[in-house]
Amino acid sequence: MTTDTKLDTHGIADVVKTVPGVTALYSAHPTLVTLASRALEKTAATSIVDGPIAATATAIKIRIGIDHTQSTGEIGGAVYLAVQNHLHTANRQLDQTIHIEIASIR
Amino acid sequence: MTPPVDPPTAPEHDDSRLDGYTLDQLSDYLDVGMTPPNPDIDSSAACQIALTSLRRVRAASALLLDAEADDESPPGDGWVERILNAISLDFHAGRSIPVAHPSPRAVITTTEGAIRGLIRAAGDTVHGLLVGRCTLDGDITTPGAPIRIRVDASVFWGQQIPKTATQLQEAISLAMSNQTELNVTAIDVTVHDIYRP
Repeated sequence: MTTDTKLDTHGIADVVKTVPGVTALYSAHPTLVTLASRALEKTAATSIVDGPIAATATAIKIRIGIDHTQSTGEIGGAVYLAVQNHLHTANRQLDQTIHIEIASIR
Repeated sequence: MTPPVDPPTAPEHDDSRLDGYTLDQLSDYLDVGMTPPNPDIDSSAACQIALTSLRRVRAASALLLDAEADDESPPGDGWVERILNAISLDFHAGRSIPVAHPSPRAVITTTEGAIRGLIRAAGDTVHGLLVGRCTLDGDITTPGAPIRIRVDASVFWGQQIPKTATQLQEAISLAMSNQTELNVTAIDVTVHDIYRP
């Protein structure tokens, strides 16, 4: 597997934090399908994975907290766009689903 | 460096704990000013929602203490415990509520716990009232499904209960329509307690 087939969630986390309305980033981790990878998913469930993620990841799950300034749809959509733009900027051709979970509203 | 609270020891399936921490532990964490920082608590959405509620109840308690300043009888804190016990299970993430997005690669959801936090925050805008247990009745996992919100509330002495309950309904309705896609068809408010200084 080459470096080009990997994704750096650390960069994604930085991008998510800059989206207006996002007040907290609880986790950003891959969701993987292989049994061997489930341990990684469990380990990463409450933390931000800092480093490359194999392209075998089928989804990236990002848990955030938001404020009252906009609707859940607006902020969630903005986060999705920010992550997508980040991937395009990095010339990533990955096709993972991006799951954004709004875990708190304050 | 000594941590402000003991590390979690309970199994993950223990519903009385929030990502491993009890309300008492979180209350202790507030008592020490959340220092030194506990990364486990600070990165837990459930703990953060619970801490917000603890602050809310403490603020309401302080208001009552001020009102009771001239009372000869010492203020009891049993009502605080009753409220916290009633709402302790509400801090968990619960069900996932879908949020519409045109891209098939985007899956956006809101947790049930976040919505309950939003309901309590709406309650903060109503004077003389504290929101307790919140429940969302209906299939919230299906977009557009009718949802009935049930809220238990405590009202402070001197508040007109019907008027206060109506204000709470309006505040919750506004918050739900502005910030969620839930199809809320009814908001039931039940006032369980009146706190008299």
